Amino acid sequence: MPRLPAALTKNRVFRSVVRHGFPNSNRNRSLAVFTNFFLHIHPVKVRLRAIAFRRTFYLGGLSAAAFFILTVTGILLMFYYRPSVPEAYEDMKDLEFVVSAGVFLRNLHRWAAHTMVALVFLHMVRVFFAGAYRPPREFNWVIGVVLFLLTLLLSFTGYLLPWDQLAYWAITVGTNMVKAVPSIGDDLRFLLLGGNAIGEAALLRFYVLHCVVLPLALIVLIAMHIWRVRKDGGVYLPPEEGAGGGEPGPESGEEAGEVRRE
Amino acid sequence: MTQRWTQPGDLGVTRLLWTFAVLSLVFLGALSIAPAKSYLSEWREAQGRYNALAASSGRAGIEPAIQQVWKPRLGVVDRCTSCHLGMSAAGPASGEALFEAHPPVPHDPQDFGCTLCHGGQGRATKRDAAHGLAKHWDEPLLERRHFEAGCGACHTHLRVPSRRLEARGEDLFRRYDCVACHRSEGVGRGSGPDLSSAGMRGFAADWHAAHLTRRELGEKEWVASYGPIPPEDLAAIDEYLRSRVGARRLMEAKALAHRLGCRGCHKVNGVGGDDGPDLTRMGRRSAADLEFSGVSGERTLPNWLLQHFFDPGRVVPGSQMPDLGLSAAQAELLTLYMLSLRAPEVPQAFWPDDRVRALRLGQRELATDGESLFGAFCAGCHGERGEGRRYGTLNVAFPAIGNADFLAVASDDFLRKTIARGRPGRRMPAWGLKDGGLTAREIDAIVLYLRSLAPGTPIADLPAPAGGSAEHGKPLFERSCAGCHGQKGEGREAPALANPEFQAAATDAYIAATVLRGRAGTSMRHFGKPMLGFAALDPAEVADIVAHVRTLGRSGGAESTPKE
Repeated sequence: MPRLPAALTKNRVFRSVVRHGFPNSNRNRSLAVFTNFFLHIHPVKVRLRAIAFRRTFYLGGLSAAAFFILTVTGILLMFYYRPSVPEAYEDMKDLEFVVSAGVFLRNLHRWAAHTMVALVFLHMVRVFFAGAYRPPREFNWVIGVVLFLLTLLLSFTGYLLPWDQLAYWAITVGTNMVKAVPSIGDDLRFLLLGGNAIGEAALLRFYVLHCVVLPLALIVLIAMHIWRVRKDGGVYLPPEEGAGGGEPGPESGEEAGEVRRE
Repeated sequence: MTQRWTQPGDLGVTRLLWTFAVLSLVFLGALSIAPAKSYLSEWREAQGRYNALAASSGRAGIEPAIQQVWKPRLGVVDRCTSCHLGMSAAGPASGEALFEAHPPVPHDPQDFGCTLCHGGQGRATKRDAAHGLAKHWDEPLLERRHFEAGCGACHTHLRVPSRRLEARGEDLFRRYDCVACHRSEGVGRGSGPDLSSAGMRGFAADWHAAHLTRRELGEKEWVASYGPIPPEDLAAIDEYLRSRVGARRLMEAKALAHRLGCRGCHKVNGVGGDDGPDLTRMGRRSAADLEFSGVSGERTLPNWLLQHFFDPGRVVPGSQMPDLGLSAAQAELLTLYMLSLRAPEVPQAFWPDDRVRALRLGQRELATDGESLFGAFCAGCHGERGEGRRYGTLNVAFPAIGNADFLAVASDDFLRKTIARGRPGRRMPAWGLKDGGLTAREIDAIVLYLRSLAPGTPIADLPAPAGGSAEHGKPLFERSCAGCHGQKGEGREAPALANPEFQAAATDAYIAATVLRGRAGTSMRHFGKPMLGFAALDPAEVADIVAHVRTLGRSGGAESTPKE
């Protein structure tokens, strides 16, 4: 082993964070996965078939990536945005004309949002046609549906924030649709708008929903969603041609000898 | 079954690493587009050229930065000066039009920013967006030839002077050689104050007395050049000066609109007729809301307006507005006036004098002599000198109220009532205070003006017809009158005799006299003398007709005449 990496890794600080050696043995490679917070979302055993691109098209992971981009750009946008009238619109204009790369920031946020809706939808379609909603994964399917709704709500609440004509009328139409809910429609609309008309109160509500409530809910549910994927034995795999065993069962019923776990 | 662990080689790690490296580079390249675009901006380029010009003339350049005029109380954030550097604090640089100084105007551009007057999008720092040419921006920059329309963003009630008085004032201004010391609109010499915008800035009402005092004090050039001016001449010069607001073409345009009688049908700022659309916000109409199928050329508000003036019916199908037969120059002027109607939302603290006078003190935005009022409210239908009009699009001939025969038999009372109450159901609106908004004094002024159109006074005691029989009058009416006035007097191309307000205003004597005299020069011939195969009506027959006309007013016509 070259001297420099050795100098970097053979000290107490490094060892306190990374608790294994170079992944040059099966043991260390396993440890690299198990002791890593971001990688531990994988099930203990991953089959080659499960991580083949054509199995999942990585749609779930890409949706999460889109959400990550949205979070980062969203936070940056929040530095420049005041959810009040008429500042909201003026801040948009300033983002467009005087903030360095402001247009890029907004467009990135916008396209990532469109992309996320499309990806989440395709992810759902993929899971549906793979039949991966069946037991033991039915609860995760339910979480997924809620995640899809949250994604749409995030798109909808974000739409008002530019406070231009497009935003105003889109929310007019949207909240009038809410009014069509039987018996509580009017109250629901009032709750959403913070009043009877779209004004400063509605803008603030949509802002808080868009930047705090919905993303937090989304993060919690994404965590549950991924955790359940792992608990349900990873990506659903159809029974292999010619091979007796199908997919591995849930962790509670691991088949002997198939799981390596530290 | 022996378990085989996946080895790195199985996943093609080397290939993955390469793909990852290439994609990372592409991603980095893509990311660098944003800051590059930010840096290579139009305003930076313009400031580079400005600095180059400044350097070539030995002046210091500026630090590259976005410049802006910020007026929070007006809601103005104008970054126009980022490129139009000649108007920024940096000062003009010769060599490029973009860097020239602002032409002299009554205001300092730094006081109100740019977009308040010129339109466009002040916050923008890109050319097309700033000039309001971007999609969905409703207020594009006013074209150079229409820049005076921008005055309407605050000066909503610039006063239209009396044409006669203003022309006399302009003439006297030269004759008294005021131009020896003062300049006005580019004419004149000497070191006295420039009076090109005296009407906007205001001037001392006692200027003449003050001038005379200087003369009495014995200042040399004053003794030689100044002398007393009679009061009627002073009034004319005052009228001329009041209308010098530093926007000559706009004033000309507004005066034209008030001479053609546009407000006979259109309301502006709450005053005017109801037949046409309210024009108060016309200059701010978005081209996106207009119908362009009948308009050739570019889809802009000015072009729409211009073509509309030439042929209203083609641009707005079903429009009642007649083709006024305007010259190209007149249509251009009216377009300018329309663009100046901008219904401003500036806070009251910034209201100019003319707006305060009109909206707070109730003063008119036009001279209230009869001629000016007639031009503003009546001339559109009745003609500039009351000669009557017939428009192709409307199947009506508007009465010739300047006709000598009409004025000879119409009493002042008849004229006043007719103006104040109009002819409900017909084109003539009521102009009284509660309807069209004219005061009794203003109506009197219009009546006085009408009298000036034809020499002579109205015949004081017209003989009233007596003993007419409606029954005998009916066939006579149907033979001689119904062709133009309608079987039931409902009015076809000639006035509606059954109209209740006509019945109330017209005396029997007036109707009889009109039948006998006719109106020379109009379709109403005189029935008192034989003419082209028509026998003359004798006074008894006229009395019969008058009696029949009276029955027309009662519940709508001859049908209800009691048969005994």
